Amino acid sequence: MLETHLRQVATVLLESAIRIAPPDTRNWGQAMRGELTYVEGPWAAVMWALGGASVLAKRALASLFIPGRRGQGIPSDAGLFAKDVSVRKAALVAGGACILAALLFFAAPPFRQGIRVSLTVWHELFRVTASGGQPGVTALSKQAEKRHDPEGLAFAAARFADGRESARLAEEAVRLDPTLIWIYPVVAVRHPDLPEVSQWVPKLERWDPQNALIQLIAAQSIEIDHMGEASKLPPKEVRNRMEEDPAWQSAMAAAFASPKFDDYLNRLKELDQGVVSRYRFNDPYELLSGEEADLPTYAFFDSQRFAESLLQSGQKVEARGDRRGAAEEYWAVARFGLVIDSQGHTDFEHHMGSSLQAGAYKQLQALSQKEGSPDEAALFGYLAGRLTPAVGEDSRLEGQWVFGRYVARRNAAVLQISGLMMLIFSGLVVVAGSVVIVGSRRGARPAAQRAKPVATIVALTGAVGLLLSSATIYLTYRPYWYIFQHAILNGDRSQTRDFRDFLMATHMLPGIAPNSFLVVNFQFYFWAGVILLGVAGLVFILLRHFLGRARALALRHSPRVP
Amino acid sequence: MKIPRISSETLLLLERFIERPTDWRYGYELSRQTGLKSGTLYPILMRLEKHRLLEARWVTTEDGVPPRHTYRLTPNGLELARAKLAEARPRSMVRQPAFGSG
Repeated sequence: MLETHLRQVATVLLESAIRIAPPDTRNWGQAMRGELTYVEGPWAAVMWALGGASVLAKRALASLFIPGRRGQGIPSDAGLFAKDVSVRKAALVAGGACILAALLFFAAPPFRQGIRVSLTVWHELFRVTASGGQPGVTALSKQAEKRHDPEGLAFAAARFADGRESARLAEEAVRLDPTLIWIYPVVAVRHPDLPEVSQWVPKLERWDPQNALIQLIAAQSIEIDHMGEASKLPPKEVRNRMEEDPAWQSAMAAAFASPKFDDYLNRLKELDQGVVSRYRFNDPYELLSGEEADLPTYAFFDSQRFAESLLQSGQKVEARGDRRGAAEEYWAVARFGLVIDSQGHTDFEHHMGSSLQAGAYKQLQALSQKEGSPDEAALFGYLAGRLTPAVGEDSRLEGQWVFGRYVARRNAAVLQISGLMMLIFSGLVVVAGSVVIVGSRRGARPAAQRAKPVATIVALTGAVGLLLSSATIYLTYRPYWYIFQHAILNGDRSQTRDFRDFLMATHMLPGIAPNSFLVVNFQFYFWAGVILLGVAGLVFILLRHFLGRARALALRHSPRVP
Repeated sequence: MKIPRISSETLLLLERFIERPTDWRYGYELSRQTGLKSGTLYPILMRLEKHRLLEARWVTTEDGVPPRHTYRLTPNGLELARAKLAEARPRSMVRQPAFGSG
């Protein structure tokens, strides 16, 4: 039963191959088919059919790349016994075409940027670049210094991870162009412990007196001073001392009374547009890291602490029977939360604003109930309820996603693996291509000649892999490149959330990204399977090549069977 | 005359043909005698036939069974095969023991 089935499989396989074979090869296919009936053993029949089918398939492939092979004259003596010259030539032509097509991708800017992004994690893993190095920003800042370009200096100041260098560039930028003074708070938010911050605060207070951000930076500076002075004291003690400091109280009261909150991100975006095109700066990591620097943690906790103190003070005033005075305290918190929430740009700012408002509305709801105003209480309850989920779940922010976090992480993993595969395939092409070239030379060593067929197959596999991985990089990164272009050049930030999350995911090794084990496992199993199949195929080809040769030599030297 | 590059598999096949030069041989028979798989044997046969060193003919068998292809060397093929084997033999003999069973 099994024998019949296996023979049927062998017949179907060979007949299918005959159908795709070029016309001048079909009678050879029929010849193999004719012998199949006489092959002893079902498995031997299958192997016979597989061998025959591979010959016909190779001929079919060769006819695709080298049409009109028929009608060749008798070749020179040297080429007469050369093994499958046309097939090898077809493989080399196909491989060359793949390499050329892969190289053409370099003409596309999304591909060039995509390669850089795809290799980031591997650079970091193998420490190809010095950790923390910012070569792009460093080069830009040097150029800007040479050109005495205040905008270029401010751009670099907003992005340098080194606080000292950032402060130096910011001061130089403001010296050259005093209207760029807004770069001080941007730098102060990123590097709150800089000694320069306390010198910048008075200037900023004069320049933008109504902005709550300046007061928050002032309060943060005072807190850092306290922490430095009392580093041996327990944190709670330090906090108590700081909260009792009239300067801190005054700064926070001024922040809560401010009608305005400006994080200067709009100015930074305008600056980016000019600098990016002027310096042809297109490092997405640097551009997006600088544009949405969050409020410092200090400011968040300072605001929470001051809000709590106001709410407690309101409760005390309420207990004394002064409900109007209590409402004023609660409203101060709600107003500040609203200012931050409505005028801020970053997640952190919205989160902080919502959180403060929710706490204040809960107190106002309780107060209204005590005052016998159920309608007002219901309104405050509604507002508190609407704002509370945003604190924990970021529900209001979900709507800003286009592709979503899941897609961003999956795409990042695909891009990273494709980048790695592209490197591996490029290496294969270079090594195998060199062997083919060396083996094709006149007077090449026999070992090089013997390795040529295998090297041709490896080179072709590498070239196909190179093309596929390049195409994957291009297709995966292309949508993000357009998001990037819109964000930087047109100021369209509607999709930068996707891009930012995608970029963050490209810093993580695939397989250890948080909350996405299923996705990453799929990628890993898929690519690991492809790699294993490729390696197994290579080993099979090598074994077949060398064992077949050894067997042929052994048969030649063995005594003849009569 | 310059010695052409020749694969050991082709030499092996020519050796089998030259043993009984006038006989027609089947593909499977050649495969068993040389140990070459169909994927190696047929490309060699195809090349030899293309350069008119090998002649092929169809042999009809019983009804319902596909016809079989048979092969033998042409006079040109025979001449060339003898020349190649003569060139190749001294090289292969180098690998034989100096005082072999001879």
